[in-house]
Amino acid sequence: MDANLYGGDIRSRMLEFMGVPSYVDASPRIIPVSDNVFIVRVSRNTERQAIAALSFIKSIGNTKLGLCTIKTSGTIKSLLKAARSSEQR
Amino acid sequence: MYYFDFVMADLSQYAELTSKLGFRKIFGPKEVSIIKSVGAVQPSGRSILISSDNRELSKSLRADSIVGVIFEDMAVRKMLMSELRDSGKFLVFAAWQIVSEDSTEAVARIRKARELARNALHIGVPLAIASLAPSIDDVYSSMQLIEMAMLIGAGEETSRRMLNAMGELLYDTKKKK
Repeated sequence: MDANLYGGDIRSRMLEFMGVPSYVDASPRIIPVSDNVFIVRVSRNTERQAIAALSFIKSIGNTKLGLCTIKTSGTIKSLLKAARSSEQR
Repeated sequence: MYYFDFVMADLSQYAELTSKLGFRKIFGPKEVSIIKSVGAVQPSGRSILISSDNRELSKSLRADSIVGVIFEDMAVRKMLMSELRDSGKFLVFAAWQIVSEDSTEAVARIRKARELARNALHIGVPLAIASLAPSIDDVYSSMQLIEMAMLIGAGEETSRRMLNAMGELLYDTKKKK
C-alpha cells in the first residue's frame, strides 16, 4: 500500500469514525515513511482517539488492510528514527 | 505488566511481530484452540469457547481446559456470568466483535459490548480482550486493544489487566526464567 496515495482516504475514514468535532480537535496529518509505514500526526491529547479510529479502518477503496499502531511519541523525529531502524531489521 | 494476545491464524512466520506489537507472547491455535462446542475440547490443550448457546456456555464452566468464553451475540446473561465469576474463567471480548467497517454498525456493536462489559464488571467476572485475528490483516497492537477495552467502558487500569490476566495465567514463566 502506498501511504502517499492513500493519506487522504485514511483521513476521511478517520473522520467517519471520530466524528467532526473530534476530527477537528485532532487535525490528523499523514506522513509517509515507506510503502507500508506512515506516521499520523495529531494534536496533543487526541492520540488515543486516533489510535481507536485507526483500528476500525479495514479497507481503503478496494484494498483490504489492517492498521497496527506500534509506537507513539511527542516528536516526529523519534518516530522516524524508530520506523527506519525497524525497517532495517 | 506484560501483554498477551490470542489469534486464530497461525502467525508463527511473523514471530518478529510479537514485540513490535507490544506483546510478551501471542498465543496461536496450536497453544490455545478456539472452539464452538465443548465436545471439541482437546483434553491436553487449552481452549476458548465461542458460542451463543446457553447450554454450551453452561457446560464450558465445568470443562477445566476451557480458560475463557466469548458470548458470540454479546447478550447479557447475568446468572451465567455469576457462575463464570465463581469458576474463575474469563469473559473474553474479541476485537472482531467490536470493530466494523461500517460506522453505524460499529456504534451498535460498541454499545452492545459496553452493556455486557458494564454488567460483567458489576458482577465481578474476570474480563479479557484479544484480537482473535483470523488473518495477519486482523492483528492489532497492544495499544489498540487497550483503547478498544476503554471504548467498551473499562477504565485504563482494568483495560491493561484485560490484556494481561488470561495470558499471564497461561504463560509458562518457569521456562522463561
